[in-house]
Amino acid sequence: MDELNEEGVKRLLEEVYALPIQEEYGVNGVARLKQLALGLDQIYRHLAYEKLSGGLTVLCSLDDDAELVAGEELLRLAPEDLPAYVEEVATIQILPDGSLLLIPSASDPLGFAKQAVVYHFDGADNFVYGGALQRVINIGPLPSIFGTPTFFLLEKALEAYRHQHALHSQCPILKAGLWSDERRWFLANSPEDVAQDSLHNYLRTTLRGIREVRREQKVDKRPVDLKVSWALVPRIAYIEIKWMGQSTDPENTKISTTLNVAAAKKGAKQLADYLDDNKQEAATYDTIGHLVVFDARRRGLKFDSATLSAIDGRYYRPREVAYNPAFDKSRSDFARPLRFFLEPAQVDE
Amino acid sequence: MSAAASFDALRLCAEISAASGAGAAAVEIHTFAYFGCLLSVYEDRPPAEWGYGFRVTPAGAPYSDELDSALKTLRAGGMIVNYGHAFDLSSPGRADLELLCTHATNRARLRYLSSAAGTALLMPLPAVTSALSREPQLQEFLGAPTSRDLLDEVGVDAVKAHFEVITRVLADRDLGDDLTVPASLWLTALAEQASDG
Repeated sequence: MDELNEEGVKRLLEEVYALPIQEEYGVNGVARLKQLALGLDQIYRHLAYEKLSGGLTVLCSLDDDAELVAGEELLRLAPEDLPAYVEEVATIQILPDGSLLLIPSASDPLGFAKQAVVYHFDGADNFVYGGALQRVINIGPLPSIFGTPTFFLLEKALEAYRHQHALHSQCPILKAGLWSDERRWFLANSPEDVAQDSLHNYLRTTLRGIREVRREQKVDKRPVDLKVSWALVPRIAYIEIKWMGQSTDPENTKISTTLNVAAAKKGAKQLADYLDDNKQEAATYDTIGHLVVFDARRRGLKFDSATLSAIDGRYYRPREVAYNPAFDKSRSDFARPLRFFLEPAQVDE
Repeated sequence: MSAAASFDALRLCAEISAASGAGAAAVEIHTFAYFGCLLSVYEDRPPAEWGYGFRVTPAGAPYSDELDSALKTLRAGGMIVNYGHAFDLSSPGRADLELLCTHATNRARLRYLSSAAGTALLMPLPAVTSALSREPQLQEFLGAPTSRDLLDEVGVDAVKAHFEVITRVLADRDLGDDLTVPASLWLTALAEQASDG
């Protein structure tokens, strides 16, 4: 059995933001923190992060009766009414009954800290303690750990990832590591590691009813990129991740690898072989394979190209790979392959 | 039907639904009940006092027959309702839960249940259940061909070895009697183990 390493656990203390809040406000502070977190989930289900470019301050008073948010524009409303009143910036108090006090303007989050547990969003999560804004370590795929959408079906989760995390590289892991240039024309060296990291992190924080999502599972000595195992049913999904496009060398001085549909087709064959191997070894599990292809192809692009037209940049967006054989048609343990087209950030319209 | 299991099913259904905004899956109710029981072990209570036992499924998840029976009975009685993949409380279920929360026998376990479920407010719900899958006995029995009982003497020793580390690391902190911080720290450590492979 794995034992805990005490020094390692000490290093994790800074990730547990409930600790400094408990030390500063006592047990009541933790209760307010949970109330605040519940309110944040509600708020983020109705307000998009992109709408909050001017910042969002949310607080939960230590005293149930104290109304700390005030001003001429003050509104009392339900979370679902927020989109009608919030543009770019807001200050919100969560009341004990779940309703909200809103002023659609900025406030100094530190100014509430003596009377409330205070959260502030400035593109990332912060809480106020120790007299300052303190960043929360974000283990999720979105700018905030609060209000993360969750899914019961892997297929739905993958579809959502495709549109909301991959298409414009919204996932912070993709944004930080997948590209060699800010225009998102060329992939960085070894992009498969970043793609695996991103999808692994996304699934482990959004997919419900599962036991775990693990990376690099060995099946008959050959790796499959991700393995998802369910908790109460003997079910396993293997996810094979491939990419298409042009990746640069580590120094970003030239194109080092170009992959096209052949890579996707090779991935399909590999996955089918993995599933065959697994069938003999784990006959008791209901097993399904998913092929996921990150598609960063740009038509006619060369390393020294100065421009990329919108037509060439998005040429491959609607063009699916024609697999032959089509394993998803011929076998029941092979899901329909998914292609995640990755939009360039800069094109000449 | 176990009264403790029935109360836990109702309470966890309410707390997980609030945290997720989309109901509570059966597996989540079993997992958070087990987490609550573990938190009582953290405070040196014998698992036998929890009121019902757990075993691990071949897929590696904690499972309680009493909890499963309670869920079925509550559903048949209209106290909880099924929405697709998840349960939520009905209006009579909410009223019943409110009443049950005032009973002295339930107040003690409420603290463990709420501390366990409260972690799902502070980090994404699937991240909590995923981290818990690294709990020592669940790891030990993963892939075992048959279902095995959890929290026998060996299992309690293994969990307590983890909790002793958590207690030592938090020794100088003023935590009151709330278990949210030790619960969150333990989950973070389990998640770290998972990411280390």
